[in-house]
Amino acid sequence: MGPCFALSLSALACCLLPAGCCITCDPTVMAAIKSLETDYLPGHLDAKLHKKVMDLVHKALKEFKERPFNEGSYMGAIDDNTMKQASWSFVKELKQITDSDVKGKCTEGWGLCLALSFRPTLVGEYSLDLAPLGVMLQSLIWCQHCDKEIHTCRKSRDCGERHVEVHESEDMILDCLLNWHHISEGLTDYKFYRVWENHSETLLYKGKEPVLTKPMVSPEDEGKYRCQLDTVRSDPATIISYHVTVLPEKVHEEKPGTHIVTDEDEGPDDESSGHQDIFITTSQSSNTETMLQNVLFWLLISFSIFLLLGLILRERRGFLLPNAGAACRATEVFSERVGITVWVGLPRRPGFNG
Amino acid sequence: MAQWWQLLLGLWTVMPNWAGDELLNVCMNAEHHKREPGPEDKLYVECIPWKDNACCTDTTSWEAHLDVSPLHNFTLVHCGLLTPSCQKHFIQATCFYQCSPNLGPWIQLVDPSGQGERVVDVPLCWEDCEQWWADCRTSYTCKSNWHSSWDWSQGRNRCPTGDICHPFPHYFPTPTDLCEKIWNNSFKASPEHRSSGRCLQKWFEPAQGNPNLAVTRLFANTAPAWELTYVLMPFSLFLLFLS
Repeated sequence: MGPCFALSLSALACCLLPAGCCITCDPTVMAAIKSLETDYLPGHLDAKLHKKVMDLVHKALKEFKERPFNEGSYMGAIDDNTMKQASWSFVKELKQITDSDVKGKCTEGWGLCLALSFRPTLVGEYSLDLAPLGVMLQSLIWCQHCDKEIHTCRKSRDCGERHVEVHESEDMILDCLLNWHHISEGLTDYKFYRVWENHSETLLYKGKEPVLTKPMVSPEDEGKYRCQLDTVRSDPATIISYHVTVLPEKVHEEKPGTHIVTDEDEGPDDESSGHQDIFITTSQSSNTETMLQNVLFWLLISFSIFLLLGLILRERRGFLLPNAGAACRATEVFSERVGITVWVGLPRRPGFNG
Repeated sequence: MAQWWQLLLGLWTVMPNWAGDELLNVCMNAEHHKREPGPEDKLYVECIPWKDNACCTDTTSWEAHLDVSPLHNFTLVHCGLLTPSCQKHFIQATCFYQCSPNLGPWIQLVDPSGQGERVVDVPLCWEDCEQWWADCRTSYTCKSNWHSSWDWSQGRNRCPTGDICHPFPHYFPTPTDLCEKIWNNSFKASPEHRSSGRCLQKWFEPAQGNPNLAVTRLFANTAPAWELTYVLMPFSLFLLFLS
């Protein structure tokens, strides 16, 4: 019974790995083990087996100090929260064992063991996953000597570049918050800068808010911005660059007829860019504008057909021209033809009725 | 003939200085070093002291700070995380190696047949090795010589099977062992102290200026004088014979 009990205890401690050896840094754990030795065992076990049991327990705890390190799981240090959780679990389980009848608990102890052994990685989770980019300051407890120190977890120099598109007269929002900012230590202020062409910078905001909002943007606001989150040390925790593009003002939804007129007026000389502008604005809005887009498309098709017909007619007129004797009339016809050509060559205005 | 002697004497005194100047401000021919030392707009944290004149780029200075640095693909965390104070010394040493333009007298070819260079026996001040050793007492490693016999099978150096992680003093009993065996004798543990002017500091406060320049000048002047002596002596004897 004695060795069995010790086995289940040590198995318990084993299960709480990788916090296994680390929990010895927690005073409540050490107090619980001490109380086991002085208060519990005398009443439940033969005196000569006490030492044996305690030796087993201490040996098990010591052995975990020599557990192999593994990048991705156990790195020799854990954070405060995980330590508290692990210690609390251990003390609770220990109390359960001591409160109940130890006899026949061996198999159950092993069951607990299996259940608890599927614990997620500890430092691995934080340093490898939660801060994929940037520099994070973590407060960790080194298991071997129980010292608490700040570890600098460096993943990358900056956290990338983001492209932000905003329409004229709308609000520009630059978000600098990353999900691990709330667990990092030693953070000071968020600073937002406007980066100019000649690489000089203007400070726009400095404070605790991670989001910068600029209302009613104008085309002058287009350009590069930068956010920097500083720490108490000299290196910043996060640097994010933003490339802001200001798009033309979003057209409000109206009735299809009037909408067409508005868009026509906006259409520039170049047919293709006119298409582009119209498509950009309409594609971002509702179904109504998609429909209007289709209407415009068909109008352009029909106008192209008119154009072709015009050209064909012009050709036919050319064939019908008499010989050079009727110069006057030829000139008239020619000027008429030129007139038509010029008329046809004017900026395309779909639906324009000549 | 007296003129010849004067000329020779003049040459003899001037030549060491010339040769010395070549060694004063130079970068070794290695993978991440610049060709020539020069100022950098910004360098990362521990490499800042060399900003005014450095052999390293901004990118290299950042890479010097990583646990698994791409500079030499070596992981410092082969036995768990180093304590921050211990890690700082390694970063400073890397910055010193990559950025200092004052290592001229100790530059040698890695391989006689090749082009690559390294430094050998750079004398680090007593305090530098002492403090490094003291701050790493609570960190762990598994080998007493970091140059060879790692397990590289998984792409990164791992402790060979059978080599258990123990605290640093177990594998490096003295500061001398640490300084010299860490990087295959690139550094030498000098018994001189920092203020003596006869040893190099692996890091310094940016405000105080680079104290290594004067030290290197001293070593640069004495070193090549010996080689030139061997050349000038037979030459002067020859001249004597002619006259």
